[in-house]
Amino acid sequence: MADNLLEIKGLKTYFYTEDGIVRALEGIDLHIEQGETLGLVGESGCGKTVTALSVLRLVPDPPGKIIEGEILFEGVNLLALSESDMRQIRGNDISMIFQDPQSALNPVFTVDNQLREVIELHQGLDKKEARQKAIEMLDLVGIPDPEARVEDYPHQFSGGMKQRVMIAMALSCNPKMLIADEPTTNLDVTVQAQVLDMINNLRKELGTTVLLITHNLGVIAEMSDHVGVMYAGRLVEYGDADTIFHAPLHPYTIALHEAVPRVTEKKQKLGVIKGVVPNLIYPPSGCRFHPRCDFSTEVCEKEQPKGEWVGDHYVECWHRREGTKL
Amino acid sequence: MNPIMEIKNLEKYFPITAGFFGRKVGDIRAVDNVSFDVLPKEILGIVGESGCGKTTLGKTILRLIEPTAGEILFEGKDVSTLGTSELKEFRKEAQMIYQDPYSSLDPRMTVYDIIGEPFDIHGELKSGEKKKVILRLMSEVGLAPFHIYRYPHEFSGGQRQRIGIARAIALKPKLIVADEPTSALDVSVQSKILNLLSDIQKEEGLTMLFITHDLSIVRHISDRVAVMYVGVVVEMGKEEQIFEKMYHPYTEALLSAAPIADPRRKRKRIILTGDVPTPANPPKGCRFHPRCRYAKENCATEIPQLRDMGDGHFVACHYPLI
Repeated sequence: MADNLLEIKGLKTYFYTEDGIVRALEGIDLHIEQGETLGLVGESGCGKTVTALSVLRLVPDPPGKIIEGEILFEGVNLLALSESDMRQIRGNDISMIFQDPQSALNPVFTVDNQLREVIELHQGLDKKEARQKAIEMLDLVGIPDPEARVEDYPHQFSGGMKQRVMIAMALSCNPKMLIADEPTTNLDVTVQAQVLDMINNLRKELGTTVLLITHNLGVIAEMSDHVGVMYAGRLVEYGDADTIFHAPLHPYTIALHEAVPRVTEKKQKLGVIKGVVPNLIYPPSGCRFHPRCDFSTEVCEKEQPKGEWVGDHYVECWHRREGTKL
Repeated sequence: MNPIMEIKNLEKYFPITAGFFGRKVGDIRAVDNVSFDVLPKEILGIVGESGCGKTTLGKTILRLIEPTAGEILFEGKDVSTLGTSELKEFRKEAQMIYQDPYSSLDPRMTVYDIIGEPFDIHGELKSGEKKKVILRLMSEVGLAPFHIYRYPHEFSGGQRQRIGIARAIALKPKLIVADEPTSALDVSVQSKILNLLSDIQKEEGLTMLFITHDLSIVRHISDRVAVMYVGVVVEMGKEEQIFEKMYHPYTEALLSAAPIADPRRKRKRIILTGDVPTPANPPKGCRFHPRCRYAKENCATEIPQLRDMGDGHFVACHYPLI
């Protein structure tokens, strides 16, 4: 078995709001192997982004707080580090790209300025060396004429180009792990293909481990080695990509597949999941999916199902759907 | 079959102005010389990337924005020349469902007011009947009767979209333009709304123009598909013609870029270089030629016209893929 770069154990992150405690993450166990891409998929509010922010300890506090659990990065518990040690990890070892490159870049500084800030801070290079490195990074992510473009402001770049700049910035310190939170959600499909292709190439070239967060099953299928499916603050299923797409065990994973229209075939009718995503201030008792599940019984209502491992495949359900073929 | 709507050489230019006096310095050619027919009771998908003019096209067809030139014939009558009272009649026949269920509903109106407003404007119902009709419409789109006096903020995104759909079908229109009706919704909510739209379309015998950037949605819902690129329709045909044997290099690249939700199907992507050009300064000749891998010399100078390749499959390309 490959080494785990990151291991999350029993992670609970809550938000203390005026309306009550939002139980955004209710005990998550997850690991990422060295050099792989792990795709995390789920609908809005399921806790994908909170998981990423918890790893970097960027959960806004207040109202958010990591209540319990361990996040082991190369064996070191990030939750036990001091803030200044954590700063060394961010950017150097783990960096993140966000969904909206428009709001993640500062509009009043040039790209050169913003890239150099990262490089000077983390790598201790002087201004001239840092600039050289900035140009190299822009070249690496495929921005044409990087010597000239480095002097431009963010508004002079298109959406896809801005996302490339963000990726250049995130990779400029050669991190061991890159967290990409919906990196292509705002991009057009042809530009999305360019950016995904680039992330894949860089990952092979630099050996970066990637945590990819998205709601798009197509992007997950094209990019991931392993896939984690989240629902209402729990990891309900985990396995290699082929298993999750062709032999899933959890009713939610199956329902999600059936609800998505495909570009490769025309379905007669889309599958439907009854009900709505629960409010995490008052999450359902027992299995959080039970009110929407077609297979729920009394036990699902009363008790949180115990997660089970079948080889490399993890599932959290009282009534696993064995033998489902998709 | 006679078309319910014929679009002929439709153009919509937005002026670009500069300076204190708003001097006109150019045009954004959002929709440029577009012609096609819409058949009765079909769902015509219009697909393209952002800025290709698909939303402008939808709004111009309903005359929510005025066309610059061209004809829009709805059941033989030119919509672009209708006077105020005729236009009001046309509005009964043609309705729109909007992309954003958050901003397209008035926050100070209840569901009763929102769905009832079309009846108030067109004065078609006696006051005693109104509530009954509204309740029937609500049950048709899957809203519970007790929702009737609630305000939009009390609903989720999917439920709001249901209110928008109920409002659009209230007057039993013949044509509905749906502009990205599910792009703000989660996957599990999206499937419910798509199912609802195709059920309603069948039951009411509606004609629908379905505008989206999502290729899998367009394949799922459409009978025929039009592919747009920088203000022009580059290819049009039946759903299986577009998805299985496309003629236009742009359609080919667009489809190959769409991620497939199946790790076993790795296909060769055609990665287009560069970005989508701006409609303010579109490339000369074929608008796709700077990014096209099959482009030849005359592609840069001659504009290809949309032509019939047989069996209702149209393409605007000098060198279609055959």
